[in-house]
Amino acid sequence: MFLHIFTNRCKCLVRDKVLMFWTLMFPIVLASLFGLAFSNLSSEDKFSEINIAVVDNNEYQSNQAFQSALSAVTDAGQSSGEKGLFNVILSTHEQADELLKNNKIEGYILFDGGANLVIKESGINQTIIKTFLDDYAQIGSAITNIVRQNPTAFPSLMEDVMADKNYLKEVSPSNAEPNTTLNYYYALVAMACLFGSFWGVKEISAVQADLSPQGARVNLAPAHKLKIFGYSLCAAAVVHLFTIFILIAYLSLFLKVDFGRDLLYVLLACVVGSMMGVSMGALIGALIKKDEIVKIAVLVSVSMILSFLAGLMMVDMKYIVTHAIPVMAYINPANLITDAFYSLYYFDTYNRFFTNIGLLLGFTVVFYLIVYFVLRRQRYASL
Amino acid sequence: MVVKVNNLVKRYGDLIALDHFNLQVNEGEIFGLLGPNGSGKTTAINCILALLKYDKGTIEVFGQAMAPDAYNIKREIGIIMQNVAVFNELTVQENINYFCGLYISDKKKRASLVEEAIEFVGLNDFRKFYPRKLSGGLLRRLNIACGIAHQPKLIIMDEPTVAVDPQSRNSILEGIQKLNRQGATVIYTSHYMEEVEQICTRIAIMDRGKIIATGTNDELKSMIKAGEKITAEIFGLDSLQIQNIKNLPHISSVEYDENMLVVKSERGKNNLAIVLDYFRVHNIPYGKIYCELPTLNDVFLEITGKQLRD
Amino acid sequence: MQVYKAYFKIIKQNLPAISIYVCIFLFITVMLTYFGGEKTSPGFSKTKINIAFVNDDDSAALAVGLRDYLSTNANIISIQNNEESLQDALFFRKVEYIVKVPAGFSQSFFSGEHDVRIEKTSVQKSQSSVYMDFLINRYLSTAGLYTQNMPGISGSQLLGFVKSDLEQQTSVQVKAYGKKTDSRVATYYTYLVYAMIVIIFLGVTSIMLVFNDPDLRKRNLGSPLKSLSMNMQLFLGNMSFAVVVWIIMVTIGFLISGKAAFDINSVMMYINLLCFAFVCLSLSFLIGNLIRSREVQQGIANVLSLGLCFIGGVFVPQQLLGKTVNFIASFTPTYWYVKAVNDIEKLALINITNVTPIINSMLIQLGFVVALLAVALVIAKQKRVSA
Repeated sequence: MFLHIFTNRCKCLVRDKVLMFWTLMFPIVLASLFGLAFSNLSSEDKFSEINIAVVDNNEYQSNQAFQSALSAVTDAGQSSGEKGLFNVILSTHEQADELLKNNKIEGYILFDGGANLVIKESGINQTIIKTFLDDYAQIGSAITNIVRQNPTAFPSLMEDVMADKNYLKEVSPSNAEPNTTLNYYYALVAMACLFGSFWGVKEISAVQADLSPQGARVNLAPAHKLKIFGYSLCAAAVVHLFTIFILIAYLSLFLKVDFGRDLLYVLLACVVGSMMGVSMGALIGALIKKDEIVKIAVLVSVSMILSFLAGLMMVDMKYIVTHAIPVMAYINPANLITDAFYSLYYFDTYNRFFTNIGLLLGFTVVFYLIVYFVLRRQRYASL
Repeated sequence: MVVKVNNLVKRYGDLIALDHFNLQVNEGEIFGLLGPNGSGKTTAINCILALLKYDKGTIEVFGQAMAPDAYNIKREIGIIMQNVAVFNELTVQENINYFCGLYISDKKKRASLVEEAIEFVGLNDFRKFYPRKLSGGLLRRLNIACGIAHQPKLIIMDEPTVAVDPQSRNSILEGIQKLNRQGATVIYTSHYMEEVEQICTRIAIMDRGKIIATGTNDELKSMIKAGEKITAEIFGLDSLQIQNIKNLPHISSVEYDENMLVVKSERGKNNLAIVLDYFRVHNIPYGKIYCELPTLNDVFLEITGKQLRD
Repeated sequence: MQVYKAYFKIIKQNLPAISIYVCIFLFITVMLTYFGGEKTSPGFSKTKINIAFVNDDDSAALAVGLRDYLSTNANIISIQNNEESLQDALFFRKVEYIVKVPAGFSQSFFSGEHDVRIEKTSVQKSQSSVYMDFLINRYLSTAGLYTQNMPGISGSQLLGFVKSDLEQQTSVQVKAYGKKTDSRVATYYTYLVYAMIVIIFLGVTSIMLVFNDPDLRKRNLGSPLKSLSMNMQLFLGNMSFAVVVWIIMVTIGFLISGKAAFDINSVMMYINLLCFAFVCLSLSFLIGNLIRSREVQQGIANVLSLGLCFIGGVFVPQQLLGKTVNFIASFTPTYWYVKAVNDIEKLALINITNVTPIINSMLIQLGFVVALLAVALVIAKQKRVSA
């Protein structure tokens, strides 16, 4: 009996082109788009030189120290064909104004009793220019102070100024580098897991007499409905898990998405996530009595919104939601799945991972319990 | 007694779908449940099958109380629903095999049963087809095969011929009779009185959730007063003659319009002969003439005062 | 105008579904606008990031000085000093950056060896984290100048000097040339692409599915109505729908722009959006002629909208996409729409040089409209012949 139902349901599910599209093709297409969009994000050349102008007046001409500091950060000042920080244009005050107006430069430096920065909007580039100028002024101030106190320090002092010292070292909770781009892919897997709900809906429809004529036929068979449903659900879980594995394989082999070191736990997360998705579908299927197209529309929307809140389209959304409604981190299944993958990648310990897996299992159990109580009813009020 | 229903009451809110519904079906019958749309046929069937909750009454099948978990009863029932209930993702053969497998676990036995069922409904050439590719009539036949493959003792068919072409319909009706000859008891619901008249050995007429008459075709027709209806084409009949015809014995009404005379008679013998005698005696020439026996529709009309079909 | 009238009757029936889509996707857009709109650029008293500062060093003078300095540039959130709370804080982004002064840091620092380093942990390599790195290094290297060149300098003296040095700030003059578009407005119009594609596509194709139902098509084709007239009426109906969607979106745009709603930049945004609405319309008209089922419709809606958004620079800014992707994207209308939005955002001075690229982007979008429509009409005609 089990094998009979299981194999036949597998056939039904695998041959359902629409559902195969949603659970298999759609995530892969989306993953490919991510791959395309993020291909450049991690590469180095994303910072281009910042165009600035310096007003070429007497004060600038007489400030040798600043001129040399500035040339050190332009192309000319770089050793081996590396790019500098700034691309500098010397100009008159009027020209600089004109350049700024027409977005040709990010800002210009005007010496008028000290360095001034003229910009028209604030942004990261402007901050970099200002930081450069601040740095120059601050080191100047330090040098003045030191020389005033200890005039003999001068030659070695200049060496110290030029020495580029790093006082920091990166420590992370693990060997993995923090990488928020991964979150997009993990949210994508979460979305694919939630799409398992389609399978859940389908299985419910197939055994409920008030949802489909096929269901009515199943109800008339000399076997317990819950038994038939249980077997069908196994088929749904297996087929869906299979699609998730294909997705994971695609992500890690073709798009080189890093899932951490522990394959076994990754697979565990897939199994739990997939079960969660299928149970969510079963729940919605059991509670909403509408035709399947409406249900699929509802499921696509719900899955997309939950994934959106878990950072599928913009990773910051995840943290905004977490701050605004902290409990969302623990009840949004998409978020739980995403976090489970990320904690596997990021942490060496498994506490957070198991918290997420535990919560997901908990929801799955609760969902199935509700489904059980709906299905247990054997006669219908109306058909 | 294969099916016995006593005082079944089923309400949908204020609407009473079954109003103290009683039914008895004997072994070996093709039992027809005839009634207009909305008279409660399908509701009654669904209650008998323990799909629907009902408010009052008892249902026995094969002498045992019917319940959702009465699996030994369910094993002997085959259902053909009004809606086609097959999986679109499975082929004709796979569908039959799937549903048969819910009843029969022995693989070998099942394989031969599936073959028989395919043969029976004549879908041999279509066994690898998906349901989407089948025409309406073929789809109905598949639906039937799925319901009867496990060779049940009781077959319940709920309007299996809705929206079916005449050829498929005939093959379905013949099939039902064949199943019956092989020993199955059949309950057959329809609002097509011709079908019911054609194949059913006993008929119950339903209206508003009640059985209003039960019996064989002839028994039902003998319940009513109406006899045959005689229609004749006659030119230039005058009103005196019409009045005279009306006064003949057993004649209940006479209408004459556009040279067509319609005479309705009460049940009795030789009504046609009496009318023909009158024509001959009075030298009234007639063209076409024909005589219709009462139909189940007349039965329904006389009992309820409305037509079976609107 | 029978077809046109029927169009609106059908729209009316589909209204619940369509309005659900409108609400959901506009909600997402507004969420993105309000939360995603702020570019995380520090400085100029803009957003300060949240950091945690942990001091494990006993002789804390230097650490205190560093903490004070950082507190003027970032929000220091106090978090329990244990591994688990710190990890959780990072995980949930309560803080984006953790600074940890290890034991023995001051001693090593003052001895001039500098072999004990500050430990930092960041959630990602972002501009904010690079900026924090820079601030810490600046503080310590300035302090290092004193310890190395003024032997025997006292702790409090050192902190005083460094503090006064680092208070040196370049004065910044912000010039406003004309009006500048609020970056939030630009963000709204960028993210609107997603909502626009989905809403128009689902709306238009839902109607097309009804009209393209094989039996209904035959009946329509059998009627004495000219097919051109029918298609035109259908297109007119779709156009009305697109315009209504556009009006709704612009109205929400009003609320976001506030006072600036009627300046020239905003008006250009509206026109640009209208161009894009027509692009979506003709694209949907084309695909609507090809598809038969609602399931396929849903699939295409999602792939199309997300695909065009990711490639065209909606979710990931065009500057970050790289040359290859942008080149591919330039064959999609979204790329030109987003480019126009970016150009309008930066537009401060109305002159030919500045406005031409914007107009060009709009014209290219209209070019897409014409091309897509032409293809759609050819397909509609072919289908009629084969039907």
